[in-house]
Amino acid sequence: MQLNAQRHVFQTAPDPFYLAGGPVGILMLHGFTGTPREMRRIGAALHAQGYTVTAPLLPGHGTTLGAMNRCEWRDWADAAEAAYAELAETCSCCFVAGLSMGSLLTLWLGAHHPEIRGLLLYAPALRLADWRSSLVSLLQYWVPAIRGGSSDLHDVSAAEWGGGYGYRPVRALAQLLQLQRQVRRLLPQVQAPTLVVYAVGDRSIHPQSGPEVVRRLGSAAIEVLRLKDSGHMLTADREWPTVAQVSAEFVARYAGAAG
Amino acid sequence: MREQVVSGGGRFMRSRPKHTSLIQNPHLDGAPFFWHGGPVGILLFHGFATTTSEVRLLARFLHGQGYTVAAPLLPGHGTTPQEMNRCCWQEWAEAGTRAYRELSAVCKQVFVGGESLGGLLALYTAIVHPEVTGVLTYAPALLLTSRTRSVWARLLAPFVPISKKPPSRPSHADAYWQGYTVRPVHAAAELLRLQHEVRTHLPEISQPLLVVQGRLDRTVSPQIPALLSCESGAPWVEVHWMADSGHCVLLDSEWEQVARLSQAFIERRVARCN
Repeated sequence: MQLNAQRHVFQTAPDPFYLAGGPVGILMLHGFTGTPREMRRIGAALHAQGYTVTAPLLPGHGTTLGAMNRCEWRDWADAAEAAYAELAETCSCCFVAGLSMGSLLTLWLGAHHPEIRGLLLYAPALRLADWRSSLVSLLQYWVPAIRGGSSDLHDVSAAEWGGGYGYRPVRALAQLLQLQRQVRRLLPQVQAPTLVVYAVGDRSIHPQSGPEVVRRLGSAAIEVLRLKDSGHMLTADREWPTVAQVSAEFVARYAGAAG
Repeated sequence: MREQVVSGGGRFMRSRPKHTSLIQNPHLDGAPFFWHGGPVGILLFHGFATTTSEVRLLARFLHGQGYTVAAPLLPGHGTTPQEMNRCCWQEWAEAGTRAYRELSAVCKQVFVGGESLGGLLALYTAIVHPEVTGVLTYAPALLLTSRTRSVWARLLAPFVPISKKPPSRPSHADAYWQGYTVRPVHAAAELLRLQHEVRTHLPEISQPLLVVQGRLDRTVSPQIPALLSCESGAPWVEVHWMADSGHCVLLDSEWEQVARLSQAFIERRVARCN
């Protein structure tokens, strides 16, 4: 399969960011084929509340499809671990937030680091909406990439916060499914207070994905915000101010004395 | 506490036992109440086969925080199991609506809440009155743990109006729980009807929801918080699991924690509305 050279390479500048602030730190993990830009709007809003915010670029992202296809889910998990370790050095009290695949990594961190004060899951990608995704483990040996679906953004102008590849790297997608399986097993071990935000009109993740997280989490406190007017990239879509406000309130509540 | 099995239909029974013998903790106060306070009102519904004693600890706490708190005694409760068997869910809903009207007449904002059956009624009231500010549900009886028990309740109701309660794990709640020591099966079938009614109308809920459930609850299903967060129309659902509590989260060992987090939920909602 010959890929269009233009769509093969990353379109927007992947810009990881670090916004220095107080002793409460928030690690923000972007989604599959995404970039830290997706987390920028929420990140800036949280930073305005006085929190330290960091958003790393995950391996294979922001480069080429080929590089992405060479990544394994372990690489992403290790990168998340490293970013968390770095943040935990400077901040006394840490939160982790993630969009889509980033929320799977958030859960991964939550299960392995009980000291994390809270998890913020945006559109948790525990299951994908597209039934064809179950074929990728087979398809990955023949097809390097498939065309990405159309955007489900409710606010079309929010597309500038997304970017990424026009195609989906299939081998990397198979790794995402592996990560899903790992995280599903870990859900009951997650003890930290959790905020789950998902959009009813999300076309990328399965509608049962959010409820399944709620059902299987081991956390004693789970807060669920359902958006009616957003697509998958809800951290930048029309209702992002609500997401930012609810996230800030959640962090403030569970940061406790450290905040 | 005496377990007693009464056979035969309520109204055909020759010798009706003194109802006190069928009530656990008859010394507790199970009367309806209306305690005046601030402009924010909280309506609390008790659960199946119990009395207002079930919500009294929480009510006293919230009243102490300056809220107006009211709790009706639902029809058929606090009398005899036979009396309760003659009630239908519409009567409970009607009593709930009446209590809601009374409270909303004196309060600017009203929260409705309840435990188990009361949680169902709170959801029902929120569906019927979209102007309700928020809903507090404590182990709402939206889905029972045992499907077979639900089916049996429907099938057996005409033949066995009253059945024995299965033995339960002793808990902190036992000393504070007032209610029938036997299970009125007709009434249980009515509970299932209300369950169905509420479930079909769940998407119409537009208020934020608080769901508190005990991890040791063996009466209602652990699926309920997820079900409420996905099936209800509520934009905001807050779920709290109590590690050491059973079904009666409002009376069990962690009730104070439940009361505090309920108050925090109410405060946040009120702050957001103002």
